[in-house]
Amino acid sequence: MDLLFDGITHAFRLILSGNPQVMEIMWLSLRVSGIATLVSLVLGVPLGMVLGQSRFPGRRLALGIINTGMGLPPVAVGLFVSLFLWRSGPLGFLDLIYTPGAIIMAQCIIALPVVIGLTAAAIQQLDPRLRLQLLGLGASRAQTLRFLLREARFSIIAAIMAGFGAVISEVGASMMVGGNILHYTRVLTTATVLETSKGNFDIAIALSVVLVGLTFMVSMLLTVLQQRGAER
Amino acid sequence: MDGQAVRRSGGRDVGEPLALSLSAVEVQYRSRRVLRVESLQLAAGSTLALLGPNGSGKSTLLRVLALLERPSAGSLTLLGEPVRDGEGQRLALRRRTATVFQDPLLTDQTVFDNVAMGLRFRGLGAGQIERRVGQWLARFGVGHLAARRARSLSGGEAQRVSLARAFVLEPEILFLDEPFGSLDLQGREALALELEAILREARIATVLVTHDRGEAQMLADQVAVLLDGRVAQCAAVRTVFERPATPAVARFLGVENLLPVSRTGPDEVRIADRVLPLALPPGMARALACLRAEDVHLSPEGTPDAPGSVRLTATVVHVVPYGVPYRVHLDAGVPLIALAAQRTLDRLGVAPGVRLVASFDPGALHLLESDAPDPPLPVSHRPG
Repeated sequence: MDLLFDGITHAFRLILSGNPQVMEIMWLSLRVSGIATLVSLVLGVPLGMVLGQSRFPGRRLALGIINTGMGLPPVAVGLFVSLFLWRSGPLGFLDLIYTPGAIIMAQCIIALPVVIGLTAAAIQQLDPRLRLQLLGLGASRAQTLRFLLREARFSIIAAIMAGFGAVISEVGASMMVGGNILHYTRVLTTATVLETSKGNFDIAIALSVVLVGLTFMVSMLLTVLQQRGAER
Repeated sequence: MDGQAVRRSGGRDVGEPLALSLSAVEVQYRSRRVLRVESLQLAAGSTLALLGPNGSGKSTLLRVLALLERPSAGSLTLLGEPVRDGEGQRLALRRRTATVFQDPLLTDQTVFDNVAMGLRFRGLGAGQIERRVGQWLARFGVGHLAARRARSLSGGEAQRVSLARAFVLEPEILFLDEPFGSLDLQGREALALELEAILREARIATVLVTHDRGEAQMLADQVAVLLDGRVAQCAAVRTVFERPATPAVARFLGVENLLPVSRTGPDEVRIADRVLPLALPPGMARALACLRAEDVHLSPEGTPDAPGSVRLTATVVHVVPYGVPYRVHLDAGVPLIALAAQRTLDRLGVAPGVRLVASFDPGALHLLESDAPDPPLPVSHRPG
């Protein structure tokens, strides 16, 4: 218990004093996972809308694959991305292995199915007749999609939160494709693992507190955005 | 190009202009045919009711006409333009129409934004939008709700907003799919009356889908009765109600009595145990006579001067309350239903087993060929 208490006290001292090492790691985490979430959003929301709205052969299979992807173990993603990015691998020429770019790529693969799957579910939850009603009022296809997106915005923001939550907290993929290199690819989760294994519990706890705080702040921001206009 | 188009359509049609016409339209879901309509027309400024039971294909037909669904086969002309496959022309035509569904289907915005939606789709300026939205919200009596969120409205308010949202577009054709279906009886009647006034004033060509005969009677000029995916009869409202074309139409329209009639002589038929001087059309040996329950009079047994020249002795089977009047089910050799007020029931002492005279005027009969085939088609049980 003492250890935990001391750790937390020290953690807050580190955070409040703006410890450069902790800050650096935090910014990198935020940047990497933020970009990964953004990319998943840009790709995943349109794909999710298509998947949720249209009927085509193989749709069920596609949904099944996406839903499986929502539970993809980060370690497995890390392994496969590594295999591709290694010098000898098919994408080796990109020289991405052990860079923040590699982590972003792996995290996209983790977040994308989450965003696609939850967006598809959100769109499917809408009244199917709403689409006809919008068309019946003279909406073009693009206008119809925009309105459906607007109607499903609460669930879609929830999808973004879930995607961000998945990537900011994963450790396996970041470790494997990023390599946990100090000042370069060391993110909050990999740093926590490392400091714990070295016995530096106070720093490990500080990093965890930062991680939880960061997740809380981003989620809060999205929640405020989501709930704006929800009151009648 | 324009001159050619005018000359062509001018040569084809010399009567009133048509808002809409369709020919040989078919809709199939997978391999099941749910709709087959040979031809249907809507004159400019008039209202056509598509009347039919649930699953008769009337909503499907409306979606095809409103360009919200592509038929499997057939062709359509809207506002003088033959509808082609391209989405561009369909959108352009759709923007000259508006559709209202049974459920208001408002989006999660304010009432004002909901009603402004269609105008914004069309790219109108803010000033014009404000003026028109205000005008139509007021017209439907919901002007005071403009700033409210749509989700907070009652069912009746929401349906008014939904109607305003369509009328604000000042469409050339209006499609209404059971627009009062989500309301209770009172709200339905009030709104139907208002809509009738607005339609009469605006003279917008309208297609109204309903299963309610009263709504069709109140709002429509023409009625197309849909049964099992086909138009069983299409005619002026009065014609359809007074002279249904087939027994199936008569049954759907609620004609209580369909009495079997058989020819017994050149100008003589038998109904129940009575032989009547009535001529069947040549070539018709047997017929069904439509007789509305309100045309059947009840008198005490042995009355010499019962109204109407056809008098049948009948036994009361049972009495069913039916709105304000009662439906009296009789056995007169054939089953017969009469409508009677409470006072009549009291005066005649109507109760099961009581014998009465049921009489009617032969002029009240409308004869149908009894073996007039109802068009065969696999029944689809899709809602609406």
